[in-house]
Order: sequence, then structure tokens, then C-alpha cells
Amino acid sequence: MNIIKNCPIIESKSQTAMTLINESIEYIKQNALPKLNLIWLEATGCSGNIISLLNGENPGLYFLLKKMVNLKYDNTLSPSQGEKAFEEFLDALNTEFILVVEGAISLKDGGLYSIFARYKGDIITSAKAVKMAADKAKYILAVGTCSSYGGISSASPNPSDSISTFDYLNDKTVIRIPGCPAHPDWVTGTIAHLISFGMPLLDEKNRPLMFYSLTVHDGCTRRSFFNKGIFAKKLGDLECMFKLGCRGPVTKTDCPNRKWNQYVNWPIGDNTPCIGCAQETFPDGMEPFIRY
Amino acid sequence: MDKKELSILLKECYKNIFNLKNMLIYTQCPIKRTQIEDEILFEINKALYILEDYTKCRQREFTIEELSKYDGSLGNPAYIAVNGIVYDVSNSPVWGGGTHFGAVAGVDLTSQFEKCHKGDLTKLKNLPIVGTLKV
Repeated sequence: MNIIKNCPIIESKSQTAMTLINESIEYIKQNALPKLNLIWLEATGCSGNIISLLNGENPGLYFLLKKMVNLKYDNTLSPSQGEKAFEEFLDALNTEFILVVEGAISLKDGGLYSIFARYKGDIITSAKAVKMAADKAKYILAVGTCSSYGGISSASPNPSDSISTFDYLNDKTVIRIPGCPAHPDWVTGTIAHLISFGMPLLDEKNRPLMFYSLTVHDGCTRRSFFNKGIFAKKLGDLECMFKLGCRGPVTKTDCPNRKWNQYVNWPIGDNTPCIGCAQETFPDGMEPFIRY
Repeated sequence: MDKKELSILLKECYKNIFNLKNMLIYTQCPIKRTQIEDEILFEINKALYILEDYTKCRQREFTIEELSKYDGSLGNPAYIAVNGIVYDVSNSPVWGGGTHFGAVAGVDLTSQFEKCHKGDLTKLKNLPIVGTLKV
């Protein structure tokens, strides 16, 4: 016992982790990172991504709103409504903020298929609001497949002439966070990275590498069945669902490791083939979702 | 011809070419050299013919109707035709359930291939060839 007590290495070993944690907590307390403002705009979409965000855990929505960002405007969560809400949006534009856009941008008939607000008799279309905010935003995030690639909003025959936010703001750096809906961790994780370290590493399609570097197939729990050529014949079978039309091999997300709904389960864990919701050509190019 | 016969025949060709090559190194006479060179070319030709024969008897000719049976549904193999050659895409990871970005197996996909992949033949490089398409 005496030797252990005298040895500085062993003593420091048992303290290293704790020291590091305490140091980082101190660092955060002293150099309190400024809370950034956040504007969350809904264009031509289904509000699915904000609903998905409400379901977040580690960190949850409460932590996000309290510790990470000031949510200045959101179509769904803002307490005010009507012209007052739009005024709040205009005020927020004069600050430094992160812009999150969910939903595609409808362009037909001057964008009249997606109205953002009515202000003093004028109709403000979503396209116009997104442009206004994007001109002043520090960072722009396209959350959801519609916003990133066009998705369901611009699926054939595309009656509203929708295009993705990424294409609409083609002169700006837009981070794509595809997924239908996007996982809350992908959104909060990217925002956290923007706050603390700035721009995350992006791949060639502007997706954060930390969430979109591997395909679903790479991390699939049924991958060994694929390698051995054992395939499910119908839904409910426990083998690889590749022959039923699984889109895992062409879809880049970390679903197999991260899982959904408080990390409980994910589609393939529930005997459903991956439908490629985070894929560029979703939904037209990913059809048929099941084939047998 | 099976794989064993093929390997015996090819080995014989290889041995002949090897011997001729050695002879060529130690031959000074230009006339004799051209003779040996001709013999080497003959052996190479022979090897190519053997290979061609081997691939021909493995392949079959598909009509469009025959091809349409191999659409990847109900556990069927998934075949596609591009530029008159029939490829097996059953185990290609990007062809889940015999479908690929809106394209379905069992048909001639030459025009779609040209449109989407701009005729990039490296995409087909790793697919097993099962035959040719009868026009």
C-alpha cells in the first residue's frame, strides 16, 4: 500500500479523467461560449423535422433552448403569431444567427404555394423569407431531405415547382442534413459544433462527415447475412432484406449505431427495409420501397 | 470445356511462349529472330482463341422476353442488358430488390445507362457477364 501511495504515476492515473473533466467544466464556465441566435424557418414541408427535434435526447430540446441557442423564431414553436411574429423575425435578422431551413422552396407562381406571413397587406412567400434570412445568416443549415435535395416536396410530378434550399441558395455555403425526418442528434450535433468549433468537416455533398460518413449497409446488424448470401424472402424474416429492396447500400447515415426514438430501435431492427430517406433521389429514385 | 481443361491448355501456351522468348534472347540472326517472333504471335493468338471459346460456351443468348423473367422479384436473379451484353446484378449492392434508382431489372437499360452514367463503362466492370442480347 505504501508503494502505491508513493508512486506519482498511479496516483495521477486515478485522477486523470476527473482532472480533465473538471478542467473542461472550469473552462466552459470561465470562457462561457456565447449563445447564438437560431432562426428555424419552415418552407414547403411537413414540419416533420421540428417534431423530430422535440423528440431529441442527449441533449434534449430543453438543453438546446436553455444552454445552446436563443430560438428567435420558429413557425411552430414561436409564442407570438401573425404580424407580431413576423416583426420578431425581422428583429432577429439584425443579430448574429444560425439559419435552419426545413422544407423545399416552392417557386411556381412566384412562390405563392408556400406563404410565410402576411405583413401590412403584403404577402411574404417562403422563398422571399428564406432569401432575406440567408443574406444575413452566419451559418445556414438545410435540415431534412426536402431542404437538402428536394425530397417529397419536389417529387414527380412536382406541382409546386419546388427545389431544394441548397439549390435555391446556390451562392452560399449550406450544410445539408438530409433525412426524413433528420435525426435530432444530427441537428443538435451540428449546431453544437458550429457554436464551439465552427464549421464541421463536410463531405462532397456538404453533409457533416461525423454523421454521414458510412452507409447504412456498412454498419447494418444484418450485414453478415448479406456477405454469406442469405436473404429474407418476405417481410418479418430475420435475414438481410436486400432482395426485398433495401436501400441501405446507397444511403449514408449512422442509423444502425445511433438508432431512433431515444435510441430504442431503427427500421431494420423492426424488420422494415431501409427506404433511403436520406438519399439524394428520395422518394422517386428509391421506389419501390418493398418488392417481392 | 471446363476450368481444368482451360488451365492445362493455357499453361501449354504459356510454356511455349516462355521457351520462345528465351530463344529470342540468344539469337543474333535477324531472319531467325523474325521467325521466332512469328511463332510467339501464333502462340498468343492460340491462347486468345482458347479463351474466346471458353467464354462463348458459358454465355447464352437472351431474347427480350427471356430477359424479362430475370427481374429480381420473388427470388429470381436480376439481369440487365447494356449495349447488347447481359449482366447479372443480383448481388450488386446498389440493386436492392432488382431495382436501382427507379430502374427495374429484366430489361434493356442501354438508353438509361447512357443518360445517367454518361456511358461510363467502369460502372459495369465488376458485374458478372451472363450472355448477350439477341436483337
